[in-house]
Amino acid sequence: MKTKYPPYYGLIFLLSLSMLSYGGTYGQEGKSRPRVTLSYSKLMPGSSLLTITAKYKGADGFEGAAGLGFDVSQLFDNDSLALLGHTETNADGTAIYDLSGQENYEPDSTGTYTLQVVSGKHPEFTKVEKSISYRDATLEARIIKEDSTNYITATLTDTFSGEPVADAPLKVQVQRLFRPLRIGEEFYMTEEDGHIEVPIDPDIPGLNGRLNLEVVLTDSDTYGNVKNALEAPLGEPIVNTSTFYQRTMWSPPSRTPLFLLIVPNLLILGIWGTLLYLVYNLFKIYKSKN
Amino acid sequence: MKKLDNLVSDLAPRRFGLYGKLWVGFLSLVILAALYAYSRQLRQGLVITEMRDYVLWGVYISNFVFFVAISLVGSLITAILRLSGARWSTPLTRISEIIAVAAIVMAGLTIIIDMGRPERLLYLFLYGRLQSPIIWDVIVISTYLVISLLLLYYPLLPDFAILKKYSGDKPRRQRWYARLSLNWKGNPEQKRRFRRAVSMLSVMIIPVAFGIHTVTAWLFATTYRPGWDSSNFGPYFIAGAFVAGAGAVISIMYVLRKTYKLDNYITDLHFDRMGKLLVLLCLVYLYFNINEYLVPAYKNTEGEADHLHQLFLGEYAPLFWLVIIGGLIVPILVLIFPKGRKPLPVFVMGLIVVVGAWWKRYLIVTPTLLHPFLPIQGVPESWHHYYPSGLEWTITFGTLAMALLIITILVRYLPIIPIHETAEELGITNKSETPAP
Repeated sequence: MKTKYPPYYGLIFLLSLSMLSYGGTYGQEGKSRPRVTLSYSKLMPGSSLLTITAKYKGADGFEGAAGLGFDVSQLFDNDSLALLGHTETNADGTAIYDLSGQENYEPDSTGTYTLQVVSGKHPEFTKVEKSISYRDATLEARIIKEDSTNYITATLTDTFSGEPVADAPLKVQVQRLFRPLRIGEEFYMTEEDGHIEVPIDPDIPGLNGRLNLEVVLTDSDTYGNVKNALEAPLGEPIVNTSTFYQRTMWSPPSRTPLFLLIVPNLLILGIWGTLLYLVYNLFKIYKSKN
Repeated sequence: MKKLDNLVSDLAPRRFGLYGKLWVGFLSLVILAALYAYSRQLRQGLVITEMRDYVLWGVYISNFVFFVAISLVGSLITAILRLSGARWSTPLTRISEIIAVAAIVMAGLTIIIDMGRPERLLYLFLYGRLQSPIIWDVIVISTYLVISLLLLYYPLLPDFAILKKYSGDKPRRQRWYARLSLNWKGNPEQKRRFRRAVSMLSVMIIPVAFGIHTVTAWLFATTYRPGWDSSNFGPYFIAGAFVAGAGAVISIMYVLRKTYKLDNYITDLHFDRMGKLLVLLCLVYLYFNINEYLVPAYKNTEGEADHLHQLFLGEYAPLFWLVIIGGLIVPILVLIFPKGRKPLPVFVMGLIVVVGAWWKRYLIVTPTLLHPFLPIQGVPESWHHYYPSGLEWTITFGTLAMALLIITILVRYLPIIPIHETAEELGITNKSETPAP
């Protein structure tokens, strides 16, 4: 027996279908697809950071995807995922996730870490997924003195295998306010034993003679960014010539030079005192009875 | 007593005639136009002017420096000539004091006109830095204004008392003169206090007058800019101010002599003496000008060379040579001869000197601003030049008209020539005054 449906059933079906499809279209329409880049950094001795940068193509070129949340997970050999935590991009579209002290943060059987980030729901951006793999490296640095010359020595080793890393470009630099001051050449390639040794010029200026020296491995495909920083009293002490807290001709009113406070004010008091006397003199002329 | 009657009759303030009323009406119209222009500037800001990032001091500051210069005449005629015993200048003292007051009032107002946010004037006093020459200028201008007002008012006390006595037919005016005379009877104590006060003011006004113009010069000279970076700028400005002030006194004393028929009081001798004085002042100022241009021209640093080229041969050359030759050398050449020191030629030279003095300030302020140390780049072409807009000219003419109106009103209600002092010099006794014991 053939079941008969009322003729408007078909219409209802078509309307429902179109509404569903419209809703789906509406859900994606106007959303931008962010471009995500991941970068791993290790600051010796134990701080590890994952930097997530999300950008999208806006009206004025690439702009940071602000307020985009990411789940950070670790991927293991057996394709299992362990959620490490959550982070969100700032106004520039950058999020920094601190990996230090994380539970379950372990390398796989080859000594490789694989992290995966997945963006959450966002009204302006589509969902995006990205992963990064790296190995953990140890960068040891210290100061030695040979023949009255100070050297900074550094050794780069693969933490998992304990083997030295050869032919890795290490930069040696001093921390500065805007950008680091490079010491010696652009970079030094590590020897077979993962070692470099760089002389330190004695005339590098530092506050109280202290230099914040850095040895850096940058943008390594295997190890990411690895940095070791150490402070050493090897620089030329900077004599603080700032006059900020002194009374100078270029100070704010609260720090006017004393001579400029005293002499003109004495003159002003003297002249205006005389003028007040002369005004008072007018009153005395007015009151004169003789 | 008859002689005093005649003196008062000659020197007492008089009502305006038709020309006087037309003059006041004309000045009022110019001032009204300037007020309208200023209201537009106030609403829309300084962007409505032609001043931009480079020429940030334009015609207003030139005008301010001119007013400050003119105001110096109060100290020249009233104080310097009085203290040096030049009694011939007595009929000119009141005129010079009136000019000084009008000029210094307008100098203060012109600074406010140049401010983009005049409602923040109080901030100058609240947050001003004593290290800044601008604060020194504010202090010294207000001090000079008070001294000038006192120096105008003190010698008026006996005159007001005389006018009170002679205004019996006008009770309202008599009441005003009575109030303003501060009960002056000419008793010994009043005279003692009066003389001491006038002497103190005459002495005090000289350093303050020098101070006001030196500080105004320092507004420029404390920078490193070509044309301004000079340790000589203070004396250079003072010399120029004396020239401008003397020219102003000559011009106004001629008009007043003609208008009020004061030939017996402002005589040919006064024009002769003022002519000689103007020659001396012009020569001194010419010397300072040569010094001010020759030394940088000899050193010929890049900035100075560019600046001097603009003045001597460039865009500003016609104006520069007109000011130097027309406003300084020609007056010297004319006034050095006795025939040139007759009232009319002296008046014409005085007028030329005043106009030249105004343009001289313009030449001090503007060309330097158009020659900054860093090249003018990446800005609209119009920023490379400065031609004051119609609005700026209207406001500037308004301030000049305002100064003239202040002078006109003061001349209307005050005796132009000191009656009491003239009577004393002529040996006419005022019997209403208490004789000295």
